[in-house]
Amino acid sequence: MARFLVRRLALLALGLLVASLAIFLVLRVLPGDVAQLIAGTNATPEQVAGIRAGLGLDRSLPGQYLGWLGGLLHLDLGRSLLTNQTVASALAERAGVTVPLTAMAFVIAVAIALTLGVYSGLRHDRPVGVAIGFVSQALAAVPALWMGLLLIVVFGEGVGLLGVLPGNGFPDAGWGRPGAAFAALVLPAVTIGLIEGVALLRFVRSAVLDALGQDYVRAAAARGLTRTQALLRHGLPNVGLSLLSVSALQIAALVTGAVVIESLFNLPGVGRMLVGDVGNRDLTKVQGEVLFLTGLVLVIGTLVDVAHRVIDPRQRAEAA
Amino acid sequence: MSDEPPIDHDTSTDPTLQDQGRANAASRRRRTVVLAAAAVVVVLAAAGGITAWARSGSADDDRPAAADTTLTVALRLFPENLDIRSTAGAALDQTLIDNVFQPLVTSDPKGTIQPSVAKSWTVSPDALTYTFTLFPNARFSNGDPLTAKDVAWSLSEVTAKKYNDYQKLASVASVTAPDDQTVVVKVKQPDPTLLYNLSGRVGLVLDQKATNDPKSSAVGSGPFVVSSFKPGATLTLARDPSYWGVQAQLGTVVFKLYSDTNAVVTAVQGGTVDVAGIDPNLVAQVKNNPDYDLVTGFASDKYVLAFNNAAKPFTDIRVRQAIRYAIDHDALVKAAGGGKTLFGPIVDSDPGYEDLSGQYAHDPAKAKQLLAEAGYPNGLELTVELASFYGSAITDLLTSQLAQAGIKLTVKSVEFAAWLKDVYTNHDFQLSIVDHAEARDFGNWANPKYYFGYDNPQVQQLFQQATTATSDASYVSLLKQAARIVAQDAAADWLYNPQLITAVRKGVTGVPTDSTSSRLNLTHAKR
Amino acid sequence: MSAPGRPQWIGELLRRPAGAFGSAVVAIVAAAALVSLFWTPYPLLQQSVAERWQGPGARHWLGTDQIGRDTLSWLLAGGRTTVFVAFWATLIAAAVGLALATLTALSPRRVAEPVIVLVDILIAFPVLLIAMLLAAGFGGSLWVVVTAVGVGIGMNVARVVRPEIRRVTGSDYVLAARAGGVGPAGILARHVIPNVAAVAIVQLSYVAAVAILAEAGLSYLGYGAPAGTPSWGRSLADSQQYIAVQPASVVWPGLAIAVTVLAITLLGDALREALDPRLRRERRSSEPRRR
Repeated sequence: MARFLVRRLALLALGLLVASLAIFLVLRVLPGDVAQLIAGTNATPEQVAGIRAGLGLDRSLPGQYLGWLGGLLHLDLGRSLLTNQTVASALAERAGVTVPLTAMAFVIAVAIALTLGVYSGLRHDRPVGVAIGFVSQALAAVPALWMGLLLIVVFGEGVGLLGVLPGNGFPDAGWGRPGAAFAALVLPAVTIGLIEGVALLRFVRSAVLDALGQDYVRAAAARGLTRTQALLRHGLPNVGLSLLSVSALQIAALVTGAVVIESLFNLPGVGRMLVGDVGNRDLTKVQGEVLFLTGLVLVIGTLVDVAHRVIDPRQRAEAA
Repeated sequence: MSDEPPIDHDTSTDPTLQDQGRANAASRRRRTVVLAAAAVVVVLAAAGGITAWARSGSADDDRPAAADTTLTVALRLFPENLDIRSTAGAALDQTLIDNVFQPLVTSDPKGTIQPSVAKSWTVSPDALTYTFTLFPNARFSNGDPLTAKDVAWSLSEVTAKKYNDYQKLASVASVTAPDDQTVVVKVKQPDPTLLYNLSGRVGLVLDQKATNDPKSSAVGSGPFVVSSFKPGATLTLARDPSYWGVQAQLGTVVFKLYSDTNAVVTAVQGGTVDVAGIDPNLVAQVKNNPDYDLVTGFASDKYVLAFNNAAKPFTDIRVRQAIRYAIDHDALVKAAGGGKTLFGPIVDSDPGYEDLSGQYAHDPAKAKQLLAEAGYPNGLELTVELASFYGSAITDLLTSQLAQAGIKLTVKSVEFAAWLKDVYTNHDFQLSIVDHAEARDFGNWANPKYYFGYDNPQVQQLFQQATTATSDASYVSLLKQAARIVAQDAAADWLYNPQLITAVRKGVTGVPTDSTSSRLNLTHAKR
Repeated sequence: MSAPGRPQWIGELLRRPAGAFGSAVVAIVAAAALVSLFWTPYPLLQQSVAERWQGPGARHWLGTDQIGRDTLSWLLAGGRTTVFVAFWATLIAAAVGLALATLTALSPRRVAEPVIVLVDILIAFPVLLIAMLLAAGFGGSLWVVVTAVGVGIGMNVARVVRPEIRRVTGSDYVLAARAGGVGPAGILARHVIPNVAAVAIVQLSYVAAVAILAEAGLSYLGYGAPAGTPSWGRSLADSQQYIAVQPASVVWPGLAIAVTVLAITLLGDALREALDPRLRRERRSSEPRRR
């Protein structure tokens, strides 16, 4: 177990290092003079040179990279080229939207996947099971943007047919108004959760079908339990495990879903900030944001792997 | 539709399970129905509960106890940062001038000059010396007194550091502060535009002793202070309780960025904004909302199809003329949902306006012929670079219209900062589309260094004469002459003057609804 | 073990409803894209502001957009972008994935091991973030979309195909063939490619689906198809601004994307079953798709 943990953490560190290097390389081959961009209109060459020096753009590329890495170690991600705000504080502020949004979407996705996945697995040979299977596959093909639009058209406050939930924006006071903040995240979280949920559903369904064929479930059924009872009592842990391992990969989809959905719902999260900063070529911010989001995915992936290892009796046995 | 083949181990093929299944079938089915019903009830109840909570939350929580003093304003354009002297963009003028930063004098939406930090002023008979008297108690938000020295420093910095629009102070010979309350501005030659220019960016008075970071914070002398700035999201102003003049009515002003015009309408319908500019195409959505009044104001905005006059192929007047002939302006206005056609560089609410609609009436055949004469019998490929917030309708329409004249238009839609760099600063473009929101900005056509790259000595001379004219009548007539030449010369195409429709929440008063895209003074707004 | 007979698997594929539906939709989209190069009901650039935002009708079957262009014509032409994105993303993913799989499967451990670790790391990188990063550096374009999807999903292809190559090269019949004097090229052509093809094709069929969805998202954010390009993602983004005025205009491009992506996934599933019955059990729960 200890060896596994060390190996997994080393992999995480390596992953972050590769990510930082890739991010740095891509953004440094950027066409154009960053200092000139910040200096803006009518800047004198001296002003531009001053900015270049101030941002450390006059250092060698390895020097700049190591400087950035060094800063990362004590959470100093530099300052925005356009606003001079520290990237860390901007991220901290926006994470207050993105992290809860992703978490809510994840809960919704898992809830959908577990309930409907188990149900449709048990009823896989009935019309209802087949229908769930088909609808889930169809929903998985829907662009997140379109799903969000449809939800706004139906439920969006002021514009929707039912008009029960906010379909735009986030309260200015943020989580200072928990009710409003939560409400603002419901439709976006449902949008992401629904699409990721139906993707997970298919794996749960497969796992249920597998479990139904396993000896211990059949044995339990032979002892007088119904198929459902047998599965719920004995098969579910395995279904949960397979869901866990698959959901690690879906985290990536959740986080990137946030990029599009935050823009659609006008939510001030990391994703929407990234979209704007990419256009504005605010390089230090883009560096920080992409690293943050990638890091989020890598860290959660690691946590899920470790949890999987801790829970799964088979893997534990192998490791022993 | 099943995404997996049926598995072998199934009740239908498994005798043990099949027996059990049969025995339990009835009770199981009943239980399933009950369970399903219970699940539906629980889900619906939960949804209802959450919704009720959410509704109460969004309806009440967003309007806190101080609701009567908070005003939320929707913006489609947002300041990149708060450094109003170095950063271009009308959003900075709109949100900060008069509210946070105050110019020496100010102008109302009609363009009339009003006192600001200067209480009064006199102009010498030869029109070469302006003497301003400041309010004695004026002070900055950090407590520093606002003195004539700050004014003199601020104005000199604009020219010395070549801040935005510094050319507008070109006529100024000297700015001096004989005492703490008196500022003397001497000009090289009479300049009827000086007071108006001083009411904008170049006239802003900043604290010489301030040490704040100008990008992320602001020290001004206005009735509001910046209480929080979240780039790309919100800019929040708070009433300065120790403001030296008449206190603002509002406690808080929140400027909120919306990603597109549809989002603005959604926000109005959801009741989350108090003041919002409405896309004329979407007015029908808001019209019947009992909580808002729709106000139509006049706009000094000019949507300009700018040519890079200094570069080929625009150095050939026939190419420029061809483009003007190729454009159907009525269609553009219709697509915008409202507004007026515009055939010259001056909008009808500004001095020097003249109806130039006779020139360059839509004529694709003539456009083709001119292109052929200019050496492009097989047409021409051009790229238009514009900021992304203008949306796609305008470029889609131009693409179609220019195609009829044989011009293949490629659209490059970029973020504002990138546009500033490529087009505004580096002049690296062919065509661009810009909403020139500012009133009285004809001077750009007389400035060969402006991104238009338009260098016509005759226009420059006329404009020079106009700005040194001793009477308003001759100022207007000289401006008119210059504008007519610019239009005839096809220095650009003036696409249209948009309709400005503002949705204002009932009970909110004192919010300007004219020319709001370049100025939004909220000192007297209240609710 | 040999390659599945060609006519046999095609028949097998079309006999399944999923396969038949998937093939039909993909064929229709490709045909529409092709036809639109020569003919559309109305010229793409023909506009008439007076006739904008029409609903479906006799003159314009699917109505018109915000400047009065024919929606059906643009929908047909939008298929071009879809085909472009699907084709190039698949090609890049195939090149990257198969190269990495072959490299890690056949080269010595000290070369293969670091590459495997790298693949394991890169597989976790979200495709959309790769695309945003590229867009920040080079500006948004369709090439950014296909590169990001191709490289990102190429890692998944590599991971799934590698064990398959190992299995085939280590199998008795390959060892026998090698002992019998068949060279590496012969082994590759006769044994490795036919056997690995099944797994690879199934994986690659999903790349197209991911690419189409990514194009829609990135075009909405302004970093995908350039303005003026017929593209479903772009139409969706353009029409959502005026969804309140003409809701139908949002329906068509969204529907086109959803149906095409569904068809491609169904086709992938059907291919998996048709190409190799052995896969039915083993790969029931293959890698989840990433977006």
